[in-house]
Amino acid sequence: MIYSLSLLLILIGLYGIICKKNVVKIILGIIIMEYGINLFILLLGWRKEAVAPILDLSKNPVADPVPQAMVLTVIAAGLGLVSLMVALAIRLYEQYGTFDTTKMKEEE
Amino acid sequence: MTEESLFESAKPEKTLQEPGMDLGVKRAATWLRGFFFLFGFYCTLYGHRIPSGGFDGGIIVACTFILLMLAWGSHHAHMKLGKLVAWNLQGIGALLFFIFIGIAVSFFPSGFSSGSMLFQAGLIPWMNISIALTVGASLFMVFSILAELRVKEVAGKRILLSRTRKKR
Amino acid sequence: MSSISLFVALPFVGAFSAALLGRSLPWFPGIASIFSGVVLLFMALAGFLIPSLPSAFASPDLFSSLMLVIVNSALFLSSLYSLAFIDRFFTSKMRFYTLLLLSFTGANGMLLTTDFFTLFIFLELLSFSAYALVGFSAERNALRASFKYLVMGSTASLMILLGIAFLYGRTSSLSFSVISSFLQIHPHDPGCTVALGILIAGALVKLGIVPFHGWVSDAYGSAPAPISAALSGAIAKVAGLYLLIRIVFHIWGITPQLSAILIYCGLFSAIIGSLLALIQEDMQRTYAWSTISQKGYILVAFGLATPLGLFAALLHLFSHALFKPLLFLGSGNVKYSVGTTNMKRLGGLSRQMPFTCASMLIGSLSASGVPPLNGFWSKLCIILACFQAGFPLLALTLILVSIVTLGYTFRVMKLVFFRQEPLLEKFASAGFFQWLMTFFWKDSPQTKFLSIKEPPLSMKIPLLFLAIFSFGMTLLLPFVHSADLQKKSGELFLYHSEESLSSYPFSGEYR
Repeated sequence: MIYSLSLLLILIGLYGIICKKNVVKIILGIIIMEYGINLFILLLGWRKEAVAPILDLSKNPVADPVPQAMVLTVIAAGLGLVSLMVALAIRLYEQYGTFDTTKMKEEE
Repeated sequence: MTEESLFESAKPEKTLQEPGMDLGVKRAATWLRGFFFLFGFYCTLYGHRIPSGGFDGGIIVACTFILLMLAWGSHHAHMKLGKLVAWNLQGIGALLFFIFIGIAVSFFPSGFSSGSMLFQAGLIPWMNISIALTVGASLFMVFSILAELRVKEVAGKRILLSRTRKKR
Repeated sequence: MSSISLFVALPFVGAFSAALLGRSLPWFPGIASIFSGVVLLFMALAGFLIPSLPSAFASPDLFSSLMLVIVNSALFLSSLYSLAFIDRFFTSKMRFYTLLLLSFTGANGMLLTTDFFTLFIFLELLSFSAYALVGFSAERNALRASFKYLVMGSTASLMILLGIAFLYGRTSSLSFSVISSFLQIHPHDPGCTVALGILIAGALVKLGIVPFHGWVSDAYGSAPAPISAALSGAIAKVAGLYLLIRIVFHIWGITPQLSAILIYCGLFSAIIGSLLALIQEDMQRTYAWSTISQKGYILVAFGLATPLGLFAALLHLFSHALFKPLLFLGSGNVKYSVGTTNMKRLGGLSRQMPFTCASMLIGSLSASGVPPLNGFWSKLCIILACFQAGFPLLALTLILVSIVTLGYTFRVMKLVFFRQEPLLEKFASAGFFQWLMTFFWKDSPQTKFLSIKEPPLSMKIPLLFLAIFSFGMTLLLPFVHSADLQKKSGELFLYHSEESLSSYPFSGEYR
């Protein structure tokens, strides 16, 4: 059930990428989709009655640390992607004077 | 001291001439700078015990300089950490990271142990420090370049200009 | 482990030291890039030709060694070419070489990993540098192309990540061998099938094949010429094709449905790419559509999944990586000397730029599959593999597409090098033989091009290199035993999934 909520977030991001004409909204769509996928990966590491994966001598089941490490790395990569996208958006605005992709296509 | 001289420094006309934000923000930022930096340094040094590691610490250290920039303006922030210094720090951090990986692979059979102090935990804390250096410097650089752009009206069209444009 | 370090460490250290030292020592980034290209090319060649070397040269298997050779040769050639090209057009060599070296770090890293997580990280590194490099010139077309590439490529990367997440959820492991053995036991697991679909979609977008090719023509057409060469010759292959083959052949086994997907996508891109390349006005965009078409060939050959088909696909992969950079770098030469690649404004350059003309002629002949060159052998093998697998119509279509390839590559040659104005008046009174001979006459150039000179030596050496190696397969032919090579390349793709391939109805007998 909770996985489908993260899938909903991914689909919202995908909607933003496909159906929006403003460059900034497309970028936000990519960011939201990335968050949704990170959430999905994190949710894969859940175990019943689990504790955080720090070395602990009690006998509780431990949540899976691999998705957490993967998500941290993906967030770090996403930071680079977001700064690249914003820089491109700024350059596009400098060249075209607008953020609207339909107007950019018309000028061609 | 008369009442006028006590309140002179708090007059709104005087503080609004200086760049940056309100007086309250500046006072708060002066107090918080130290804590941010300390927290970022703490996250970096203990990064081998929590899942995030140096990346987190680097972001938080960059946040101190971003706080400087937000509260006082980019000129003041660049006096503390200039763009050239940030560029060099980023490169040095990345190179150091690889040097540590090389040392870890070739000299220590297992460069990673589970101690908690800086020198007992093998090479991972040093790698965390170099990652924090790289990430912090590059995030600050991104923010400082993006913060210097202004929108101006030129010939009826709004265009984006950079405030200081030096020819290299 | 140590081989991974050097292939990944050398460009990475080179990139950041170029970033640090590039302002004070302007010659440093280019030299660092060329040095790492040469060293890694030698290591990759050594690892490919001598499989029994120690682990410093070795890589997971023979397919990665072949791709390593291709990628590192692209690194060497594009960094050598960029020494003069970047000076002419752009201001910052340091940034260009930093990005180029980072992208090849990502490519080399992708080829050497055996688990999905590092694969994804290196894929992201590769993709980000590619997005930035496509828009490097910061003109309007390049920025739009870069944004288009960025949006489609990021969506593809995120889809690949989602597929990896599904796989992790089902198998709780990220390494190739564990997932592959899980899939041997449960071949029809629904979660893994969803993951397969998502991963294939992401990989096909990165490759630039027909349903997903929207970014290719703009990106390769507006990028600087050495970047287009490196992208089409190496990076799109690593990011798309290598990923696809690892996923489809090594981790899952090939099934008739997957084979049908690959063959259909490949066939449509071969047809559509070549037809659309006939009507372009710009040299680089023509070669961009040609890239789509040739990748379609490779995908068809992979989709046939017979030993001869796999061998033919690897052969065409290799020869495409030789002639396509040749064509792109040649158009870069034209742009350097004349200033434009718009074919309507060019013409009659064969007397002013004879070296470029000759090497692009060799590249065009190789692309169309004319006998003494590489392209002939690889296309012949693909067409024979189609006949052998029982698809004669597919083979006929590929032969027709090859003729169209001849058409558009020679159209470029004619419009750029051999034409002189006015065009129609000369042909109206000429016979057929004279028209044919206009391909080989050195016409007198147009008056506005009389002062054009050839570009400097550092831009001619990569073209010479590639042109000489385009004859390589013909020269190596006496040393090659075809059945052995086919068996070896068949085994290459069978090591995990012997059972699933033998149950495939098209696995014919070996030649």
